[in-house]
Amino acid sequence: MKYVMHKMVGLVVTLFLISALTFFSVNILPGDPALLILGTEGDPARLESLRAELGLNQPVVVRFVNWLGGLLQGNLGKSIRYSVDIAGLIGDALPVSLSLAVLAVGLALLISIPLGISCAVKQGSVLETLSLILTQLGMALPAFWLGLLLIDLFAVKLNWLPPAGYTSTASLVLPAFALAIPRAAVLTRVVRSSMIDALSQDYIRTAHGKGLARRAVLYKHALKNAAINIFAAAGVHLTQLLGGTLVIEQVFGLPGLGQLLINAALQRDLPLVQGLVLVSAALILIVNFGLDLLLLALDPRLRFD
Amino acid sequence: MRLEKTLLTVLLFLVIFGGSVPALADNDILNIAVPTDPDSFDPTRSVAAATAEIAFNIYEGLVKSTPDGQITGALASHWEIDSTQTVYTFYLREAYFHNGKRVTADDVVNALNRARDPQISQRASSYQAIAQVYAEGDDRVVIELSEPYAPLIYELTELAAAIYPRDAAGLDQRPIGTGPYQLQEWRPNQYIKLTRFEQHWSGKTPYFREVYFRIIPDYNSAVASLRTGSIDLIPRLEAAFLHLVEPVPHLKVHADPMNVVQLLAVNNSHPALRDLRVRQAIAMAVNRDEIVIGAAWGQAEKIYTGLSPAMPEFYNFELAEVLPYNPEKAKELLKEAGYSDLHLTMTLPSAYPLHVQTGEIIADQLRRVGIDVTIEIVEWGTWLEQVYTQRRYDLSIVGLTGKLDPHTILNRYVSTNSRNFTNFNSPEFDQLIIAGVSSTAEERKAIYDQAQAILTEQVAGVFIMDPLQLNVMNAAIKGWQSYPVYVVDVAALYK
Repeated sequence: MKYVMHKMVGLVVTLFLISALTFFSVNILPGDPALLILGTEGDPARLESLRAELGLNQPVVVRFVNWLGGLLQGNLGKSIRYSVDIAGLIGDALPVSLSLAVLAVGLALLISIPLGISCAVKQGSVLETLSLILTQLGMALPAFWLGLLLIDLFAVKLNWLPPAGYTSTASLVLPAFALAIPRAAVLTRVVRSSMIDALSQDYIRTAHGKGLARRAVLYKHALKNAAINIFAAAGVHLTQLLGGTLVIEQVFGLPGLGQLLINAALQRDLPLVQGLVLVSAALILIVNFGLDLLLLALDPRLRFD
Repeated sequence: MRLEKTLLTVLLFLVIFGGSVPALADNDILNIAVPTDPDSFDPTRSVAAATAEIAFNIYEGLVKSTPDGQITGALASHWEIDSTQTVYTFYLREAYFHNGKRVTADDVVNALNRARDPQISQRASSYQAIAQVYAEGDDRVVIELSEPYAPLIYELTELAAAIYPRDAAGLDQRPIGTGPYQLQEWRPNQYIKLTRFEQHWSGKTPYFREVYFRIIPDYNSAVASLRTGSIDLIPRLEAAFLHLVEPVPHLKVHADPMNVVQLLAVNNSHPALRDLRVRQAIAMAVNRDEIVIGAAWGQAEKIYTGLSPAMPEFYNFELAEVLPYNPEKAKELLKEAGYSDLHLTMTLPSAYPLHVQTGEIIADQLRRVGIDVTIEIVEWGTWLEQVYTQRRYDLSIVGLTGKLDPHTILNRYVSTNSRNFTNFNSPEFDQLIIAGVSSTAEERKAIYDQAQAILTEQVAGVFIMDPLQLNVMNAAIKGWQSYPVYVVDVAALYK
């Protein structure tokens, strides 16, 4: 319980620091939201009144305090770019990014665990050599390029899946694969080395000695031990994906957090940038926290530290 | 064994999901791919071309543009201009708003008064010539000008002068207009859904019942969607992606001038660039043929002044030979001016690959005549602040959106204009622009011919090309109309 409290306080402090840092750093950037709204066609005479309307003529510190005040009342404010409530925008985008990240990591695990185990069990086999080459290739492929290849094959040539846009869950399949393949490559190697490591331990020999079936030894004893490493690595990938699937969202035209963030930053939509950074930071911290708890459950040794 | 099972599961998963792809291409639904969301559907606030393109179908003004850039009645069936050229009387049609209410003269007066109020409207300066607007009875609106202003009728076609109900609120999200389509739903980063309006004054019902403008930022993906049929139309595809479309038999391309002026902006206040000979040397160092091929893939029309040939009534076709490509002459001019080793920075907006590529080619061409050019690529927000507003730059490249009236386009080179970011200063030019607004149609042609000649001779900038608008669509879509302004006329389309 004390551990949880401790973590919660840390979470709030971190979020505050992140917010302050984004707020002030975005303000240092050149570019003015009012200028961006007017563009090359708007009337420059309108600039001052527009800046006043957007609250930009107040000092940065005052704006930050106002924003913080709103936040404490659960109000993220209004977006400059879209002139709607930020909470609604994020509420629409969050499920897309979240399911994409979870689906991608899920797929990566689904591919890497069986592949990694097979490699560990059949060391030196053709399968291992082949998968080592494939994982090397998988790690080297940039996700966006893979995305374009997948679109060309599965959407344009085979017409199985939609190429871009977000119309149903099917729209997430190709981007999830594009994100999963490079990650599966990394994870396969993690699974393989963790399994090799686990299989060389004394208790495995004991288990074999007890006369346990090969499968039971492999899955009940070795995999359970290797799981700690695997989940820790998968957790890192998950947090990475939550922090930004910007490029893949752009390529597939997915209305996720990354897409919003790009537009918000380009338009100097500071309230929206703030809201997005806050939400993704919170998400990452929460996932990390959850991961800590999971590892704690998996590994009794950690509980006594 | 386990491995095979997993692979099988994955495959199964793919097939199941693959089977559930919804058929987007319904017969009376049209899907259009656009790269960004509109800015706001409030006519007093919107300045983005991305909005005008969609809003053309939702809102109407008193008058509107035809595909060949002429003016025709919209909410006004006809109008009269008195002999002093200062009193315009518009006769309203029987027309209805999307909320079912009839359009009254009162609604028109309210909308136009807001459009010219500098505290409310982002485009107020376009309507500064208006002294007052008032209703005469229920179906007549009178606009009185403080002095003759010929561009007025063209300005009234702009989204900024659209008519909406007097009591309308929240137009930025929920536009209420009189156009052939009404907004059903706007989901940021996903789509804008329009449905046809059954009570349009024309009595005509558009072919497509529902129209989706789907936000697809990446052109590769947009073209892939067009090929699979989940998108029917991509307006204004970038030329670099045309090769993905051309080999596909079920797609077609309508290519027409865009009415955009791509400009190599030359800061006329820069110590060296203040010298006309240096500016002329730069103009003569630019080889437009290389740029049209290298940056626009051949999909552009060369221009030599501040208007586009998309406005044939006003474009001055005589200026191609004023400062023709001649690197030897350019070197001589530089030598004469005493700038044998000139260093300039070219600031380019990263958001526009066409301008960046053009800039790279021009930098190379300038190096060939002995001007050392450093390229600096900045993001759009920075460009607007540094180049456009503060005018802290030497050279830059940008595209200026065309309008229907030459005054609106050329006005920005008047020395006192706040949008005169090239710092061009020619008293003679200023005089002509003032004269142009109060002249008759025939006089105006001569005046703007002369004004364009000055822009070219005095090198306000080097005018490069008007890129073609490449409207790419499924061959089954018929009725496409290209306009000299930034619109997609959905009501004209059918299958």
